[in-house]
Amino acid sequence: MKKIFGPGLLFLCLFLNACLAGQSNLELGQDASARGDYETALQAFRAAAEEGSAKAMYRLGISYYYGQGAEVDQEKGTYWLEKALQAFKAEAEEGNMEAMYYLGRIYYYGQGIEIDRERGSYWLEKALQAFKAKAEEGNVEAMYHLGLTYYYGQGLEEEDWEKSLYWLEKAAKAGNLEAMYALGLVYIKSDLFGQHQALYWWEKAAEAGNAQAMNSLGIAYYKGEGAEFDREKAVYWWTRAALAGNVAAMHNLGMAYHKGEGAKPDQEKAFYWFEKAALSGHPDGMYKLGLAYRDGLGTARDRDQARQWLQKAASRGHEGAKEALDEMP
Amino acid sequence: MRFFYLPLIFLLPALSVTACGGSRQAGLDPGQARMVDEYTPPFLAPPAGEALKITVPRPAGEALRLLSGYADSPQAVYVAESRPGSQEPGRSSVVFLLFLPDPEQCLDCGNNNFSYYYENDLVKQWIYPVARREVRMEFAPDDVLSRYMTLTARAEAVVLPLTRESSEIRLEVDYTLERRASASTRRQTEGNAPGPVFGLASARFSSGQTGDLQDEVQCVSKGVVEAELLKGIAEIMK
Repeated sequence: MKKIFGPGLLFLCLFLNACLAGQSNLELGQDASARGDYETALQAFRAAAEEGSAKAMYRLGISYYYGQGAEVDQEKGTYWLEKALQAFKAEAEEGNMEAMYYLGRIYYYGQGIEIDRERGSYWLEKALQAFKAKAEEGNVEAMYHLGLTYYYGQGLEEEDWEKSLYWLEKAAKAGNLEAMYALGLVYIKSDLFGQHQALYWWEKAAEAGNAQAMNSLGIAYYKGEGAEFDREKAVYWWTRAALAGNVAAMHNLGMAYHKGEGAKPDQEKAFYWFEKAALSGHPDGMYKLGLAYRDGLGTARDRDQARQWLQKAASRGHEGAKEALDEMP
Repeated sequence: MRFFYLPLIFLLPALSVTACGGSRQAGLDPGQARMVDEYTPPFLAPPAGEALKITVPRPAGEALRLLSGYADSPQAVYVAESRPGSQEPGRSSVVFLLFLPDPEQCLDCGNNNFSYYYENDLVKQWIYPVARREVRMEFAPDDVLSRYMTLTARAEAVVLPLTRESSEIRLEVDYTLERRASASTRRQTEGNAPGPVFGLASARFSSGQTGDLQDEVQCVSKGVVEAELLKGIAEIMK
């Protein structure tokens, strides 16, 4: 029962919460997606898309197209991406800078349509100019977009990491949590500007409640990136992130308990977190839950449950799950 | 310096072995899946696999730059990414995707006699913007956490210019791999630890081989790189 209605009930609860908090369906979906809870996100995006939100149509299309929160369904993905394209086109013509950006992405990467680099670059470049103008006026959201655009070089002749850092830092200093998180990523990935700075920004974001940053702090401590190896700290941050609803952290915590890394080995706790991750649509969580049922790790052996979860993971493209299914008698 | 060649045309079929049905040990123990999720990119990051797209360098005389990463695990990965050149105006950078075998399983390092091994999630883990001159990658193999190790790779040379006049494309890179292992790792790998590995990687395509390549790449890419590598190759072949 729980497994069938889990995501639906969760969505309902989150929806009611969101209504009470004055959050829109789009925001609800974005929050869920940032936590890695793609199943909840998908339902919220669908609701918002049906209300006419172009951004939600885009997110819904991407969810189906890449199988996030649902099985891969390119037909449905294309349907929503085309709808988003039309909606963005109208908004972009009216000067909406975010619409220009998304329109550029759809063309440039051929999301649901044929790749059209020329048109993609045209809109991305227009968006960049618009972001720049707004960012210079002090618009924090534009600073964040501008920083990311420079970082990935989308629609540009070349990327510019220095400019990216400049704008992301400005947005981060203005309190934008997404910018703090992205800034941490730039630092940790580039290895040119000092990885330890990533931890500074992630800690700031984490203390402000950003669960993605909490999970990343766990990974950084686990891998010893930008910090000394510290598996116990990794478990600490993953626990905080998991309790804040970050699905990747639930999976990581499950593995930490399974392996006894940073915590005493505890297969029941590992099972608990794998199940939480799986119920939120995490394919690796589904896979590991399937294996736990198959091998009786932290739970009683249950071949039916094992097969069911492995099939779910496989339907989301998990190669390990496909192989495990093939090997099951 | 020892040189060896890794023709991609031979590399790709080898890569496809496990992705296309090779078996793997079952159970929640070693070799299963990655231990830790990679940092989640912001939603506005390019779609997964996009970084593997290889763009045709713009003006003539451009060079390819290969930034390589090397990770010790059952699977070792060279990271591929397309980057506009930052060193010289008018140059483009292409970082190509190559794979290396597990040094512990590799009995013949230094020759082109590798048995390649492949794990899908790794590809995703390494798809991210890499440093311009030097890449340092640290990686905890999910199956052997007790022997965490760090390996370093340096791309030493800018590779040969692409020649679009002919239908042949040649990528070459001279690289040095340096292995840094923890004490526990060293203990476990003594005997056949490869030590520093030097090499020249070379890949050659000709238009006549496109069909084969497509098949192989599609096979490799199942749920992994989503044929982005194929697109990149196709783009170069235009």
